[in-house]
Amino acid sequence: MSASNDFPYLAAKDVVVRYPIASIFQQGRDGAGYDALKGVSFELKPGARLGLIGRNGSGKSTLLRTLAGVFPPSSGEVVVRGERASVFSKTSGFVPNATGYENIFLRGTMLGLNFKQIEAKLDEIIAFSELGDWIHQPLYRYSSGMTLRLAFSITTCVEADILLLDEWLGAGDVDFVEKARLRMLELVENAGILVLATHNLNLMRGICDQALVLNEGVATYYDDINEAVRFYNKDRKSQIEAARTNLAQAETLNTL
Amino acid sequence: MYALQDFFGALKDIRAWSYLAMKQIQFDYRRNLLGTSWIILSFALTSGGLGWLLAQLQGRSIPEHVTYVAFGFVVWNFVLACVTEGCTALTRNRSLLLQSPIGRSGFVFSLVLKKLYLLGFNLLTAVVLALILGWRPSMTVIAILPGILVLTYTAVGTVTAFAVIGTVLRDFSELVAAIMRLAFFFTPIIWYANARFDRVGGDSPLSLLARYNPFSHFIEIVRGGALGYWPAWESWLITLGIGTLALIIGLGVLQWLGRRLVFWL
Repeated sequence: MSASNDFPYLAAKDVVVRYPIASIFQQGRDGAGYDALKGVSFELKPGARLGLIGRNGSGKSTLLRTLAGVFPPSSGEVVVRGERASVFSKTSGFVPNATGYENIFLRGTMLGLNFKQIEAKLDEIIAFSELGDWIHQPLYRYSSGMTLRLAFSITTCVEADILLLDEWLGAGDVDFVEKARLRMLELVENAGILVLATHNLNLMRGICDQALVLNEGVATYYDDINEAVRFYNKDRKSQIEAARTNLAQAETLNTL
Repeated sequence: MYALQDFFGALKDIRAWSYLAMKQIQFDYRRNLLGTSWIILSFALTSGGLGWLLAQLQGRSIPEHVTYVAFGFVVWNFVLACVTEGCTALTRNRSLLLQSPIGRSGFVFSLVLKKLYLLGFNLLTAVVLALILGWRPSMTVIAILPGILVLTYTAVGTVTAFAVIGTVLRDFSELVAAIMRLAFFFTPIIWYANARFDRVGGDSPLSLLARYNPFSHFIEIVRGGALGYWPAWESWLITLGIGTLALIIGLGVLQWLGRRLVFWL
């Protein structure tokens, strides 16, 4: 295998993440807890663009945070080769009283950049965010879409090999989401890896080439994006129908 | 070792953390008309007012007692802020800690540096206030510098320990706040240990309290030099001992829980 074939690289091997529910005193060595991920595995080669599909609470965010290195897996392992950059919350690292300009420095520092690196990227960040003169206004005056644009611009200026994004593009308008989509594709074009979780399946289809369907912490499907979306929709429909049947039964019982 | 890696990793980024600390002070006061001048104003007001009141109650000379109270408050404000805010140093930065595998100690340094800057402001205010009231510095003021160093050293260990414990045990910050409220009155900051009993001689209850209360030694190592005498060697030993103990406990709990902390945020 050539060197370019395994860099960057991201793999999950039977990853289990257990949230402790008990207090620290009641926690034993392994402790009682809730398994948010119950043994998830996959392997991403250079250029892979993985979408995470699943309902609320299915483990998408937990998986992303585990891949980012925030959560240590309770068992199994995450193998990473390359620099990771992650955006899970658009406001983290932002100070409302500071101007957009100052927040670029604050968040940039938090992302591990030094002042010189931030200064070198300043113009590019401001231009991409389309904030214009608003950049010198304090952040509490921004609309949520403006905050999002600034956050996205700062994060994607970090030169990372692996980009991890959680559902958060929702606040952007159509034009900006399209611009963001192109930016993400551009980032993975140079053989980077992207993992994206979003409920916007159309956006996901426009970015990702493969997908992992999660259901209660278990990967129920992992393959081609279009197949995965079809699988997920079929699964959802059958669940909705089951719910309808239950409701109909309940109504029948009520009328009796 | 995880704890040492985390600690020294943050120490390497100390410039970024001190920049964040300095900015944080500015942002805190940004929407106020008087801005950061509030730091100086509120300090002068409290130490001047309380100094005057307690001088009346204890029958001490007003300029002398206001000076005493002002230098005491310089230290107490730092200790109180580090200890109480230390409990929430990590929980307050929840979203950042859940964002990327960011170190824990950086938030500790950032808090301690922020409070250190504020201590600087307060010390300056205390000096100006005291000069107006007729206080003149002597040679012993140079003892303030090592005093502040020991305070900072202790704060780093304490905040590390309290930040970790405060995250996994949310009752801890309540307990600390309650103890600190009491400690303020049990420490010779606004009162003077020998004000009532110096004529009797021997050990008064108040001077015993001052001797066995660890907080009074932290006050002493800075205030002593300012008031014109060298702080007792036992004060240096006790404060350095507590600081080292705090650092060991801090690194210990960081090693034990630091990696898994995110689950409790």
